[in-house]
Amino acid sequence: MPQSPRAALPVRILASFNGPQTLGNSRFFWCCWLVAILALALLPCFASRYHVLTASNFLISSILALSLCLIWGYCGILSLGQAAFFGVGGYAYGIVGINLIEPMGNTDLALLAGVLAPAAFAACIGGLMFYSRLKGVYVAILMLVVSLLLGLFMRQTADPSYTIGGAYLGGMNGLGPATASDPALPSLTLGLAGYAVEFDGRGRDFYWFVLGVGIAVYLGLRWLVNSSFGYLLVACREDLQRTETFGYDVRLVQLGVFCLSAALAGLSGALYTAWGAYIHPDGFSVAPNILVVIWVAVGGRKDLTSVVVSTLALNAISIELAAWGEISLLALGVILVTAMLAAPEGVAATLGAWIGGIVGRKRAGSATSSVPARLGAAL
Amino acid sequence: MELSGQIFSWVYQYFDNMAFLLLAASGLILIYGMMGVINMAHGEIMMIGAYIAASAFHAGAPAPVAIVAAGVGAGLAGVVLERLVIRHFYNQLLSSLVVTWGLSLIISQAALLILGPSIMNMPTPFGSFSVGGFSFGVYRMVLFAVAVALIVAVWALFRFTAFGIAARAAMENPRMAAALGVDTKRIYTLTFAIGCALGGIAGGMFAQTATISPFFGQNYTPMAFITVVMGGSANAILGLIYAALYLAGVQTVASNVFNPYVGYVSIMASALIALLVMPAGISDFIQRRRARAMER
Amino acid sequence: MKISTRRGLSLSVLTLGLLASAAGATPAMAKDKIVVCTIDDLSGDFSIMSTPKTYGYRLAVKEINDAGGVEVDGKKKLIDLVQFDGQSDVKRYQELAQRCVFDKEADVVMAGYTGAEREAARREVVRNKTIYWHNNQGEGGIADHYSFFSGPTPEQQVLPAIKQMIEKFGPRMTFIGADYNFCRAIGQWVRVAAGLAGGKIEMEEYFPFGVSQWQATIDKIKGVNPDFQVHCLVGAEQVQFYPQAQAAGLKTPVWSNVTITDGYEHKRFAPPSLANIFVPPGYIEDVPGEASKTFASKIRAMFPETVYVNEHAAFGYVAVKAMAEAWKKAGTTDTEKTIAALESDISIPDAPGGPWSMRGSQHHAAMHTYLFKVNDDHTLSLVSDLGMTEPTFLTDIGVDMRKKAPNRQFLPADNPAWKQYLSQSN
Repeated sequence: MPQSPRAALPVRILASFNGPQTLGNSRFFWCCWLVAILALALLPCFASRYHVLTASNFLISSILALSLCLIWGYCGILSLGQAAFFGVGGYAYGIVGINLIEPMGNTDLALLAGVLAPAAFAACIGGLMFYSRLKGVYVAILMLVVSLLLGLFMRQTADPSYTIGGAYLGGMNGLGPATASDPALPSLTLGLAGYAVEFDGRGRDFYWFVLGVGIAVYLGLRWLVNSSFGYLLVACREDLQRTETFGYDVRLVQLGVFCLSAALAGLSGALYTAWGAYIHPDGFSVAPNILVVIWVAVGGRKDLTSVVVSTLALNAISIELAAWGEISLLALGVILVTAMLAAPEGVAATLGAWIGGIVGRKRAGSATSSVPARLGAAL
Repeated sequence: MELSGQIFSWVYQYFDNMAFLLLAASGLILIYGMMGVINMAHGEIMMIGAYIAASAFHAGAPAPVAIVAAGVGAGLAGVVLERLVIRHFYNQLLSSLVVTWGLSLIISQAALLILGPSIMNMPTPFGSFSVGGFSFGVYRMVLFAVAVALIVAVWALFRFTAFGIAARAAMENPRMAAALGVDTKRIYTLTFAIGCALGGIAGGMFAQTATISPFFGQNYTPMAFITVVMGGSANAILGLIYAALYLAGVQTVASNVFNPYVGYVSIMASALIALLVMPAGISDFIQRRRARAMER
Repeated sequence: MKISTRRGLSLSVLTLGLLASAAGATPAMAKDKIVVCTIDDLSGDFSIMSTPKTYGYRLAVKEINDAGGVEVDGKKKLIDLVQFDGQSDVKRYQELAQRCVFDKEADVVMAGYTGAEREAARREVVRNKTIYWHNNQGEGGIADHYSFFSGPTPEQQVLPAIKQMIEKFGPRMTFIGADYNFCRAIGQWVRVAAGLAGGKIEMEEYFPFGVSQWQATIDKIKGVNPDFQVHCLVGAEQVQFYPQAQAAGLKTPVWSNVTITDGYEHKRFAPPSLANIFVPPGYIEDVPGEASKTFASKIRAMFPETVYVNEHAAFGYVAVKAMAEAWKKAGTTDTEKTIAALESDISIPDAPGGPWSMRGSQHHAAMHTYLFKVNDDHTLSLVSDLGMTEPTFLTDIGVDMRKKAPNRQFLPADNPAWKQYLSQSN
């Protein structure tokens, strides 16, 4: 999509987020996007405290979903253990946070640990997996096994001897302080040059912070997948061997993107821990891992925007269903099956491509079939 | 307690562990190994089997009849599922995973709403025998025998019958098979139904040792999956047997030398290691080694 | 340039969702009702145990509202019961607890069956300064200003029952349990009970959830040949121990505080798999007495599909009744005043399991427990009434909740007098 050299600066910036790997590259889309972001940013002004608090949680889930979308949708690596990185990030934040909140007065290092610990963990596992050329369903199952093993370990840490500094792992009851004199799981407290700002997970500030992080992750990923590295990712997804014959070290590419994805999942986990001041080993079991796959699959795994939309929608639906009593999970099942039957490539992506088609035809009526349109058709 | 009894106990546990894996996975090998569908609702199919078997048994049917009824009922449920939903997801591993997860929620919750939270299970038959001062339940060995019989039956079905040949042709190359006059849709439906019937029989068998609830099956699915995937698709049936031999061995040794916790962890850890060493499953690994040996 | 508008879509989906939930979320005008918010597993794995608890809540609320409600702030107010389905999912408990507190502006939140569910909901409720109740058996020892517990604790179950078992069968016992917080705590309590009553634990082992093959353990227990076994086996796989033990001829009596009482396994396993198990409920429908029979028949009249009226039903009922008493006594629903009323030893003399009384210094209740035996045909027979047991665990270690709440959980190891029993080698 060549931009004229005289194009305004915003347009040029925008161009780096646009490309054939994402749906929604038009000015019209970005206008809608801005409106949506504005609405989200203003949410605390008109919604109740409960809605703001819940929306924070949904945004955190979106980051987790984006992390899976990156490796599954763009690089073809399916992980059935994405929640494991979320959990590792959450625990890392909590453990470092409890130990350092008093001496440091902030949780900067804890947040960093929440990102780096899962990335390092992913580097180990990913190194083993990709360098032994594991692929497809084997990667998926292996990651599920890893997650179940972590869960098995964390569940049996009820014994009071499982402490790391001032943090007691706490088994099924979740992470907490080791003794009465140790501090509780800290809220997110960012410190810079002697100043510390606390973001209570229940407040607006935290919501805005998470929204900011979410936008940054979204734009960052859009930039990444539309860069030349993004093309490489898609090449790996489409044909690993051919990509390799072109001289790329596909194993390194897979490992790199896998670590990045783990870091994002960890970030999401760390934010979750800070949000509710609670982290527990249930997140390592089968259901939470599959839930992430569901968010991504129902949205449309090959598009970032669709994944965000479906994650927000499915989260809202399932928490609403909890008020329905016995039929809540039944209704969720019906929604999933219907969605997958109606749009096997993702409801949001299919709808998006359809709307894009209509609007595009009205606008131009031109015969130039652009790449996004063809992607839309392929979806 | 004598040494002979102790040694027999280990052997017994080995077969018991293997029976568990084989039974839980027997239906899945068809559905995953041959059709490329990850059926997360397999546990719910087993639950349907368990409910049918227990109801038939409490209505007065003898246990073997009840279990056959469970197989038939689960098979019919399989036909319905395949016609309505599964057929759209052949060879789409992950979409099938999501859709069958949805199905499993629907089936288990519907069972909860319609049938209530639980029913009485079936008594464990056959009593016990003793070796060297240890006594053992006979039924666990019956489980193993049934598991082996089911696997052999599946193998024979696909190896020797006209249906089996047509089915393998349809899995290998559906278009070619269709061109040669094989009704591939029917073959797929039947294969899925047979997979479900095996699950139903397994459910009926487990109904004699476990409590039955709408969530009865959930606990079998992940382990069954790990076993099937580890076996690999190069030769699904043989792979399953290798995987069960291997995992049950690790579990038996680890839980006797250490404790069941270590046994449970090591079954997972050894699956992990096996997948790393044999990136396309055990059966593929063994086939390749054999091919290499032949070249020499 | 092509166009697509997923964001517009996202916006409409989001606003739609928000509008939909906002419609149901408008807080009652100046709160003309008292809000009791409950979260229980109506679907998923634990619904078998927890569904009867929601029956208990509904019966209690119906009785209170039929009688005209509770008099607070000078006028009679009805109770508004808001029930959510926790879907057997820990994360959901955290989210729904927030919904109870912020959205429904609940005056009290009652939530959770397992320890993990309890902690997920409880931490969220108490950090927002709202009263929380947990209404089935627990490991006890939680000393928190806002948390109250209606169900029995190991003081009422493990200590008196193990004493009886030792007197009845002999001192040598084996312990097997699920490897998580509750059973680990029960393991500690069993050591204390054994120490106090002169018993000896010959073997103590913990197993991860999902273990279903028990032959190795059965062999081991047979090798020890104990006078009786103590079990804390949790979940559908672990209870497969019983038919396997039966088949392998392991017939030693078993004491368990997690079987029958919650999941009525005697109605779900074909006899005689569970024969010779001893259980110590604070209530089940087999408990003798007028109050017990009346309660069971009221539950059955209201919910004919009930399979068995378990402990959950009774303590859910008791908790709502106790809160109503507390509001009446305080004359308001103000949190601090209600807590003060609860701490003045609110009692329910006609509770289903016999007289029940909250102990303000402990935030746990004094109550009757019973020792039942499962017969060969899976009927239950009462072995003995373990009597009314006062909770004293927190007092013994110097905690008085009326004065200062330490806001943490205590375990037997925190009681210096018990150190000697806990260090007993197996």
